[in-house]
Amino acid sequence: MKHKTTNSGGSTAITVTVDQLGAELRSRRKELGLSLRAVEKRTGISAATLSRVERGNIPEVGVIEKLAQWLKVNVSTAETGKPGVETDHDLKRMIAVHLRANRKLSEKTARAIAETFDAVMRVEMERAKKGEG
Amino acid sequence: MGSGGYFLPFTDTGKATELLAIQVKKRLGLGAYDAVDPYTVLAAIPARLVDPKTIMRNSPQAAEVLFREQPADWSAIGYGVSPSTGDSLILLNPTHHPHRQRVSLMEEIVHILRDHPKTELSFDGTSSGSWTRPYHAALEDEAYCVGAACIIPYKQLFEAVHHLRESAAEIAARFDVSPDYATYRINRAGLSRVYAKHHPAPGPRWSRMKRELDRE
Repeated sequence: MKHKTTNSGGSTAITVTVDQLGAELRSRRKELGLSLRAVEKRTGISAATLSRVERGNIPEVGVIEKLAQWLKVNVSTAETGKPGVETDHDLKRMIAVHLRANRKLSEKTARAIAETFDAVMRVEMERAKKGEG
Repeated sequence: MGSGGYFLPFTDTGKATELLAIQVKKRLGLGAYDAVDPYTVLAAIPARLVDPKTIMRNSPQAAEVLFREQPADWSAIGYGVSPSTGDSLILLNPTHHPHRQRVSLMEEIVHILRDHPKTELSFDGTSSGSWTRPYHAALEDEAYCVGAACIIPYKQLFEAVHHLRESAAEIAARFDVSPDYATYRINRAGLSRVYAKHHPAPGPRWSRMKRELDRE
């Protein structure tokens, strides 16, 4: 579900969850009449990655950032009120963490934490594939 | 005896905290007056610590930020459930003192067992392009004080303060935490007056008297 949020500057912006990013990208690209290659030139994200995102794959943190800026949307990394994670697929879609951290977490640290989420889940997925655990 | 047949603090907030700690301990298979060692109860949750080397190997840039550049920014991260083992995954800040890591781990355990909602990291792509997160002060406070009640149970604390007249440093050593943390627990359990009676802190009056004596 998309929803509107007000930014610190007072402007209203659309917020999408990370798993809606692909649909939002496809919709905006069609609206502007752009090919994947054209979006690649504008965002610096490869057409192959853009195509994967449009097909529903969740990209890495750096790609999420670039796409959010190009689409001019806020990306919420977890859907609020979503019930507990049941499957690997759902798990990959969430970057929601319990944090023991400063009230005013620096942007750099927040980004690093999001990156570690990717790294930890990649390792766990590998373990699952190997049948470890 | 307090309400429900338990021996509880006199203050309302102290009682509420202790009862939540007892609930957490029940879920861990422990008795109401048992002290929790957060490391030994991980399997009962089930939870597992993430090795910091995993971060250093697989996300070196993030490791550089979290372990070297901004280690004071954070204490612990709970990642949710592992797809391979079903364990809740927790990363503790390896640069922090072992006392602090122990307390942070206990807090994480309380968050998990109390089903606290996770922090949602969001990326603002509309203006400056920054990562943000909400801060749930009430939940953070609950996790911290319930965690303290799990590590230092009221009954044992009462015994230590009232009968044994132990100092905060002695209590801290017994429960493997810092003296500041033991003092925090004494205050939140409503035992600060009793503690002060046995361990009077040098106050302004004492300082004035000392200055006068020094002058003589």
